[in-house]
Amino acid sequence: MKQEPADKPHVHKEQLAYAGVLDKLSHFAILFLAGSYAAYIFQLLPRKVSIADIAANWHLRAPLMQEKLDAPLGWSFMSGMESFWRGDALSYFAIILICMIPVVCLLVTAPAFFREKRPVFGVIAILQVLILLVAATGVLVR
Amino acid sequence: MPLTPHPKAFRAVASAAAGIAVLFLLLPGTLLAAEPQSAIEAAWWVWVLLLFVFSFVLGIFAVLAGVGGGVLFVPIVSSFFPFHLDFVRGAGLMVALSGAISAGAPLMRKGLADLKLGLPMALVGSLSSIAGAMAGLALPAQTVQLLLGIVIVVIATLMFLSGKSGYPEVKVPDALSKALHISGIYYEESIKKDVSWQVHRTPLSLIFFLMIGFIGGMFGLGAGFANVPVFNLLMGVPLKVSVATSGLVLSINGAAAAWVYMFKGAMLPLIAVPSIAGMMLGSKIGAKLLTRVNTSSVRIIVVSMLAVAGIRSLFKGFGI
Repeated sequence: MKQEPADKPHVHKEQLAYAGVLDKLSHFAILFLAGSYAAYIFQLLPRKVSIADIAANWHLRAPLMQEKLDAPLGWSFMSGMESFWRGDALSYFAIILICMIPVVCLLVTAPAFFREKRPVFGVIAILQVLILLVAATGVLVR
Repeated sequence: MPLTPHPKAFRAVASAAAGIAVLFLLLPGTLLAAEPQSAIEAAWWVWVLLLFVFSFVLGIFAVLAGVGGGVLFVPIVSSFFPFHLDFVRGAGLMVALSGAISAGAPLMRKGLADLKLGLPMALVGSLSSIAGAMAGLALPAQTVQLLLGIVIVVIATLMFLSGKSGYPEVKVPDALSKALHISGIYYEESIKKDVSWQVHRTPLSLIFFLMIGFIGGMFGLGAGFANVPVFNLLMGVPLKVSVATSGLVLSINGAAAAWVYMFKGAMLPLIAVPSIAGMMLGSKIGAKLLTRVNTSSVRIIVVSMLAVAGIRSLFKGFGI
């Protein structure tokens, strides 16, 4: 069904809120990803596990490699500043940042849904955040 | 207006195709050996660099063929690189997720990606993608490789056969979509008009998104290959809205499944980051070439590449 052009875009406020946060966070996350990877590869920061060791074992299944190398896993690198301030941990943290972007966007959007009198979608957004946060705790895979 | 393929663009795509062909020719000597250990003798940075270049070329092809990055990345990289399938699937999810996230904001502002359409689908899809990731990491690697081969061959066949509809007409929306007010209007630049849309078969589509999420999580595929036809052909969403909203669904489902890979130790930044960077840069080049290249020819190349990678996965799954 086609209509004549409208004077203003037909985008809901909550969608614009989601897009605004997504725009800022995605740019930041990509810059962080590039910077932390450079620090990792060029050894600007110490590493927990050497790249040579990872390369020698990357043909193994993940649990086997983990058993041999004890590489960053889940939130393990957050146990202290020393374990966080490493090239491989920061690069891993950049990946986590990317995975957290939808959570932040939905948290910002959920109240907007309620304000705009679309409570069902507010509830869906909150449920989605809960699912993502439960996944981020790692309880499902322990 | 008929599209005239640009000779320079053709040369660029031909060079990219030649690059892939050279990689395919060079790699099998070491990588198709029974023991992948023989392949790791090359310095690590050679593999990382090759992965970046390979992802870059795949990124160009993915955009030109209108498919997501993950569906090309996982079968091809797992077949021709020395990394274990676990790490390739983890990286594949991140490739798909990052691409969707980086493209998302402008599509949402234009009203192409629609939150009300995407959120219910992402809710069911994220649950099943977590389950799929857990199942994929629990099954023996050879079984996953075999199943991946089957899925990829089916996808290649569907891509070869399936149609698409620019502006499907939905005369009567279903009760659920009416209750949720799932409908929209977007401005279509090509015809300089607003296009309104509504949907039908929402309950059935939710079941499809449940299955798609599981497959996406299990194999680390973005699943845009399946999201788009369900939105477009089943629900009656215009093609552009389907493609854009598929990215939104994919970004949420991918984020959910990625945690399983992270907690199982299957996310290696060494592999994931160059894949993300290569695919994103390649996608930007692909988007620029999009109007100048004969996309149907590229689609045939991509379907062929998928078929080869799928058959290769099947062989690996059978231990051949």
